[in-house]
Amino acid sequence: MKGPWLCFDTATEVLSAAVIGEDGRLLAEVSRHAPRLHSAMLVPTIEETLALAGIARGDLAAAAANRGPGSYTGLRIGLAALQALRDGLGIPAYGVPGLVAAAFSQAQDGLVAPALDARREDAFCALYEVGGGALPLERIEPSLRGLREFCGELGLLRRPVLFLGDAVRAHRSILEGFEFARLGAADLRAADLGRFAQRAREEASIADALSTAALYLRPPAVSGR
Amino acid sequence: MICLGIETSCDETAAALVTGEGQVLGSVVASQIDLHEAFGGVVPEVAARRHLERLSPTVRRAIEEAGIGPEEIGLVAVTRGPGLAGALMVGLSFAKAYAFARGLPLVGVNHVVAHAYAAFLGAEVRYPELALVASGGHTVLLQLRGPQDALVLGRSRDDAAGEAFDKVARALGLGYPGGPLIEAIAREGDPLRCPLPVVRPIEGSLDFSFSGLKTAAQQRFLAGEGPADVAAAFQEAVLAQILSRTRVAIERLGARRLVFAGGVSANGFLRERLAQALAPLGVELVAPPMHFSTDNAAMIARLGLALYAAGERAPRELNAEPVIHPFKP
Ligand SMILES: [Zn+2]
Repeated sequence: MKGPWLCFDTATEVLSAAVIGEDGRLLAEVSRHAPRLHSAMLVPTIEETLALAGIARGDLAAAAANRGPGSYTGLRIGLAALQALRDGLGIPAYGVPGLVAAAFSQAQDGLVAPALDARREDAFCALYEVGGGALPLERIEPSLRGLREFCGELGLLRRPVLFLGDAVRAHRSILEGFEFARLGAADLRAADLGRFAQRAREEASIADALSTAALYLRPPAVSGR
Repeated sequence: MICLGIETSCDETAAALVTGEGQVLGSVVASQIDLHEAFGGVVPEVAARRHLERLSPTVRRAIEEAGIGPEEIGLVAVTRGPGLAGALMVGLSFAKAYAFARGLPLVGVNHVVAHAYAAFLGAEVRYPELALVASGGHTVLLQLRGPQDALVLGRSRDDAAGEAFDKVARALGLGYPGGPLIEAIAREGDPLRCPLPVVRPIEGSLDFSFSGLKTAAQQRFLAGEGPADVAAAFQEAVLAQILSRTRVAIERLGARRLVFAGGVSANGFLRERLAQALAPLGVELVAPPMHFSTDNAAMIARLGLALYAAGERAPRELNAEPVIHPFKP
């Protein structure tokens, strides 16, 4: 796929967009803390990022966005825009599972636990074995659960685990209570979504993971009706 | 110019293509009624999820139905509110990115005012127009003074008219949605057997109130009156209230026609009787075709085109407005 890729992430309070080359090299990125402003700011942020990279929208070869898990509203804003870019520009679009893409961004081999804050002490989290530049191996599948309980399970592995994602910031004190926990980047980067998609496209076994449908992990709450 | 209209404010995912002359080239409405029926109402998170699944295919189908190429689209219009926040944001985000991708101008549209413009699909607007929009979510009497200027003359102080139809239908054990079910059963009933109280207007106000009617209908039914008679009496009472308010507005403004739009305007009894009552006053009733009474995207495109012609352009930071204050088109 010749040409630059547009990538964006609306799964957390940080709205992030990036343009990368077909080889994964970063051309430009813009991130802003924009709670509840994703629907207002996503397209302006995309425009800003493309301008920084000196890329016209018509030159884009593909687009990628986070399909989840994360904020339900945020995911829908990102995926609706992703589908519109696909339809409007006539380019392929990839919805990228965000937690595994975050794990894939780690250069160091070992266990990686991406975890997104889901209020109270809950997190969207998963565990991956990262090594040798291969796609991460899923050890615990993505789910929404209590962070303490998740850490309790990880402790049984008796190995260091690198935590990534905004739970690192929101729940630092919880994570610091576990000796095996190493704290990594709290803010994930949109470019990593694109790099994961570029790699995953080549692996037929997980091509289905790149759908533009949202990964909510939970059925909608309809209680009280 | 051809406008792509997009509507996702509640439980219908809709897209339409409308020409500058107000001609509908294609209009697709993907309803979620079946999805929400089991819950007895619209569940916001369920609605938002379905909108994301349906919107892109719905837009594609509308373009196919119109038989045009995407390059013939010159404008994108999208509902910005009022409505369910999560649902609105799906349509808004899609519309903003689609307009950006194709290098098109974008306008944000008020859903309630757009209902009135459904009456002007294929017809000219002659400002100022008097419009009654009555649906499951809204009951508003408007004076349309221009595409960017809609004055609220009166609104419901409690339930929307369509909401009252739904609640009475439920109380009578008829099902959901209530409008068509009440209309059907009322044909077998006698409206004079158990008339409902007249809801008198508050001095100087053109506001509506429907929750009292709902309660009264329920009491008549529990007192042993037949559902057909109660339904007929309820429809008469709704008509009487609409007439009393619109008559005052017509007189005050010297209006020559009344636009009757929104889901409740799909009620044939109300349409016919309103037209009959207004004719002797020299006032014409203008209503959209039945299938454009309920939520659709052709009405969004129609108002979008009028706004665009008046110089309106959405700001880059256009956002959803679940509640629109002050009331703007
Ligand atoms: Zn409506």
